[in-house]
Amino acid sequence: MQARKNVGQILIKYRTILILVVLTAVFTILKPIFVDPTNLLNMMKRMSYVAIAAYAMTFLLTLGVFDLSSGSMAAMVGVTLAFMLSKGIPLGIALAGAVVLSILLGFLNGFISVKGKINAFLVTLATMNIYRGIALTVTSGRTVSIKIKGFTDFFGNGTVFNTIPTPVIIMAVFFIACWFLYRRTKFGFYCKCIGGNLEAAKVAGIKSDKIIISAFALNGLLCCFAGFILASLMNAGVPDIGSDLSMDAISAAVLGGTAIAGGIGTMWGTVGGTFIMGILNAGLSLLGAQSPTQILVKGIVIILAVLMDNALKNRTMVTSKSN
Amino acid sequence: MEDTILSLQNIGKTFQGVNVLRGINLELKRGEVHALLGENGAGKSTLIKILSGYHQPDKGGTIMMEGAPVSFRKPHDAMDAHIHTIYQELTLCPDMTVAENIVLDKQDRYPGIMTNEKGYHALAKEAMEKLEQDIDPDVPVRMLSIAQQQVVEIAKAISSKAKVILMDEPTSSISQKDAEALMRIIKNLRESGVTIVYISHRLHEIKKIADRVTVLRDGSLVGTINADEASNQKLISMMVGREMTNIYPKADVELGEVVIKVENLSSDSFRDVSFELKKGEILGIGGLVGAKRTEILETLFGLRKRTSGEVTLSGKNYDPKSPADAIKQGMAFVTEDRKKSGLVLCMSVLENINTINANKICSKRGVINWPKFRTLAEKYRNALNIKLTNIDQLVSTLSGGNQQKVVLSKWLEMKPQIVLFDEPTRGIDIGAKTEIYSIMSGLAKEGVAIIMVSSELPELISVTDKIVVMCEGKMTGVLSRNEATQESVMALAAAQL
Repeated sequence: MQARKNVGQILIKYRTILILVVLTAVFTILKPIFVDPTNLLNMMKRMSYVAIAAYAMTFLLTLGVFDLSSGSMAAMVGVTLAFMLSKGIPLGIALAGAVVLSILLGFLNGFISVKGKINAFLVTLATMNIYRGIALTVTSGRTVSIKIKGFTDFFGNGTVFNTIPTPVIIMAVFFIACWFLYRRTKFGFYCKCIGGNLEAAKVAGIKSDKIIISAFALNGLLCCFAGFILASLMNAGVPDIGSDLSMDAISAAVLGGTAIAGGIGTMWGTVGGTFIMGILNAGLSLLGAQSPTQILVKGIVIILAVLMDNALKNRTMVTSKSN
Repeated sequence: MEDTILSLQNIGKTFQGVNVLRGINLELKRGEVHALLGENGAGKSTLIKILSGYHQPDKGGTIMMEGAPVSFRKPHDAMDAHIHTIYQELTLCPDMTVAENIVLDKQDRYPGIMTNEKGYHALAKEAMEKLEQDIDPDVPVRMLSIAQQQVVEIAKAISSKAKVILMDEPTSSISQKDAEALMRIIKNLRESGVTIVYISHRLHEIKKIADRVTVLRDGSLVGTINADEASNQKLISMMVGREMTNIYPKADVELGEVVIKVENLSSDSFRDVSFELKKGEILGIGGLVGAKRTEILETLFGLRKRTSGEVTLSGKNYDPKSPADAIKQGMAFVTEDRKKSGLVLCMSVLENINTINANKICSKRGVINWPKFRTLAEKYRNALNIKLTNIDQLVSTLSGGNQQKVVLSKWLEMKPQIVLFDEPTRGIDIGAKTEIYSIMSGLAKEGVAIIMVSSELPELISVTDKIVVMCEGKMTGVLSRNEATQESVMALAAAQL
């Protein structure tokens, strides 16, 4: 009996890895070139900005909220940066300006939601349109190209040791930082408390408003870097880019076992979830599947993963020890 | 009236290899009130859930209803056999009316796709008249008190011609007065031949109302005795398996200087509350539900705005703006509802114990020291005798008493000057209750002052040094330990009604 229980627990804990291994095996059997390092690095490069947005989304989902405006913020950042650069503003100042702007946008989402006592869904549904609207208005819907190679190399097209694309490095660095923040700091701990039981957190003297607003601001910051990568990959600020970013970030986190109702989540799970989506996209396109098929499969995989989660959870008592 | 309506033979239940109920043989007579008693984890709830079709018993057991074997695969099967259950957490739809709730489980009586408002109303009205209750069938359930909602649940059962009604701790969340009204309803039901199975921790209620008492311990049936031969001592020793000489341990404590002085404290729900409390003293706040006792604690803890009045804490003016502020000044608050505001159920025991002290333990930059968290949690696990298999276990998997100890642990580590307790022993068994009282007593000995709100009169009277009694938001009196009796507290609690 004990043994069966442990199998269930291990399955839950490592289910993301299990899915990854199975997917990789299937694609490798069908197309051996799939495991070619170049292909894998390329895949990681293409999923890097989703991963970064998903890290931030993990904090929000853990708190029991989410942000629909991630893509709009990333687009606004890219457009703003492109504008500043085209006006001859030095790169450093332009970057700093974009960072400050994005933190402010994220902060606004949190501030309005918390202080105005409006559900984050509604607030960010509105700001998703507002931010996107601003990006589209100031550019009249046109792409603003970026000609500064230092920037596009650093965030998008460059490589380290001539092999690893820089976005992959950025994705890894942010992973380490966010894992630390989530697992090893009071901020992450409080996010779990608040998402798990807001009342109890308040009685325990945890300043929930401050934490929630900070998490939204953090989302702004990370979406800014997602925006930098997107702009670099496009060599331009594109006002209608990244419209799926929020949804992809939520999907990645949920695939990784983060509870949409809050209180439960891990950074490892989120990065695993991003890889699942990345592998699916890369594998399916290797097999010649078109983007509509990829979207379809993505949807099915999300349902299956959550069903699997529930089935396993009902059968075993889970301990919340998580890394 | 002496015939058997329901008989259980060799009923057992195993969850994932854990045997929580075994060899239960029990006969329920028609028209009796049968109390089910036992500590938490004794198997009462599991037994109730088997009778109501939520769980299926292990192979080898049989349930006989009026002489014929029955098997309940789902809750509706039990209802079809006229067995109804009223759970501790009521299961009404808050936004539907009383009548709609009453017909909710009887949809097959109303064929077709159209609703039948008039029929619903009539049925609800008839049931209310039978119960001699005056509740408007057209009012949304949300508007009713918990006690009234319970009546609706009972009405729902009797309008289905219930022959057996199972009640899981019906009085745990209602006031004394409502409890007495419920007792009258139960007596009426018994007169009309309905069998009531009544789970409660309150021995005096059981003695007052039950015909027979069955005691469970550790999943086995200890015995069934007639209520008139059941003394407290006997019931308790049957429940815990040993003689309990003192349920309310209270140490002699030398009182120190005044630590908190409350003068004419008022908020929008209560007014002019005054008392003072010395180090090591335990103050009780008594009153009926709705007397606004919890609100006093919330105001002292910075969760609720005060409108006027002064509080002096250790000689300094005390006016907390937030719980964080109150905690900083040495206040701890063990809230009434562990699940709602005491614990984060999806986190482990380890994490829960550290929710308040994270600030103190973590470095200035906010980096968590997990080994230190673990040491602390282990310390309290041993000190308070928290029964668990693993400190990383989810707190939701513990029993009520052990959950309460986890709540206490997190507050004790902040080394409070004053601990506010709101119904500290609600829903926990006698063994754990006694442990909680000794923890309180130990705190008092260390010079901590305690303010305790309690609806259980024996507890209120035995544990405290003095009692402030509230009625409808007004303080109606202060009783010293010598003056406090159940009668004197009740007299003040109902003084304004």
